[in-house]
Amino acid sequence: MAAQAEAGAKADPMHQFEIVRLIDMKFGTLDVSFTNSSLWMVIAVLAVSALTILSMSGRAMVPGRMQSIAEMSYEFVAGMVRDVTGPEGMRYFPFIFTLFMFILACNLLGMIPYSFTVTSHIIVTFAMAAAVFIGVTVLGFVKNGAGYLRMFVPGGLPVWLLPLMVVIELISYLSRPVTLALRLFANMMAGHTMLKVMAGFVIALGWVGGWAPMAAMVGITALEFLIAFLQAYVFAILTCIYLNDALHMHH
Amino acid sequence: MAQSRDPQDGGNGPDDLEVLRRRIGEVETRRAGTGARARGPSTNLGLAFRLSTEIVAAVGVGTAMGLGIDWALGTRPLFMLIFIFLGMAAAYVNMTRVLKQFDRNTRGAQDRGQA
Repeated sequence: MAAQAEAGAKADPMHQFEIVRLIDMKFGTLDVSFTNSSLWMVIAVLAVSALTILSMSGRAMVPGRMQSIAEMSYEFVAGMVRDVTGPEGMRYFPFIFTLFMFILACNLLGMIPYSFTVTSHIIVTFAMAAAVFIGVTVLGFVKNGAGYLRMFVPGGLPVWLLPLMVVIELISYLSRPVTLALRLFANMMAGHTMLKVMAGFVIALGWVGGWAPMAAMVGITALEFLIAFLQAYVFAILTCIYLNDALHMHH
Repeated sequence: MAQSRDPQDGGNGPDDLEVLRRRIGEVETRRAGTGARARGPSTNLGLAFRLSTEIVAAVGVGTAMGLGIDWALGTRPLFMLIFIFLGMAAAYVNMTRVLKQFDRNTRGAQDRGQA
């Protein structure tokens, strides 16, 4: 029993998030090695490209399975962008679609055993969130000029409260990329860690008690697939909402 | 939609055109985005998670800003403390916004359900 518990304790649930250098590369003093994270990003990009390019090459009037998936994802994202930002937001549809499909592919590929979940590292999600944030802010200033600064001035307030509210609005605005990055990262990492901890319980409890965590794992795995989709959706729709704020200012 | 199936061959012109026109109209209203679509999955769990990240992020950004100002002015704990509270306020502002949005969406869904 003690040996079994030890074996369970030895299984490290965080081991799956380790970055391993596959090909060492240096760019000056910068470490730009090709890691397992890079590898899975490349796989994700290839998977999305294969899905969208190869499956649409037939252009059948009655779509097959793969073509249906490609068309449905297009329709889904297009509908989302149109609903949230209106027709003029469709100019930014390629960006949103790329973002959504990349995150979705990374999340789903992470569900394959022994694979690496790219989105479970905050630096990856934060890089994407920062790209969205900088892009939207630049767009806001290009579209509205200095008027975009009115974002930070909520209407209908007494003057003496304004300085306080401007600072609060500024913090609120700056926290956007952080929430965006944090949510995706935390969801993916928490889910995968939970799966590994449960798997450790199965080994530790052995043939007698291991069935209960085993059953829980089945449920959690299903939940993880839902979360993989949901988080890609949330990331994309929040990008749309921020884009909409920059395009048409309501405040 | 179903009362006149489109003719197999384009034999009778005006009827054909009528069908085509209606279809184009349908596509165009869909294109314009009536907002009558469901807003996709928005679970209660997702909402709870969104709210909690909102708190963490706003307080974190506030604290970081305060520390930045302190670092520039050399007044170590002063602005950090002020900005922690401002960050909390920002967190509440953000949470209110998220909840208002959620409220609007669920109410819209209910109206659609009744109609």
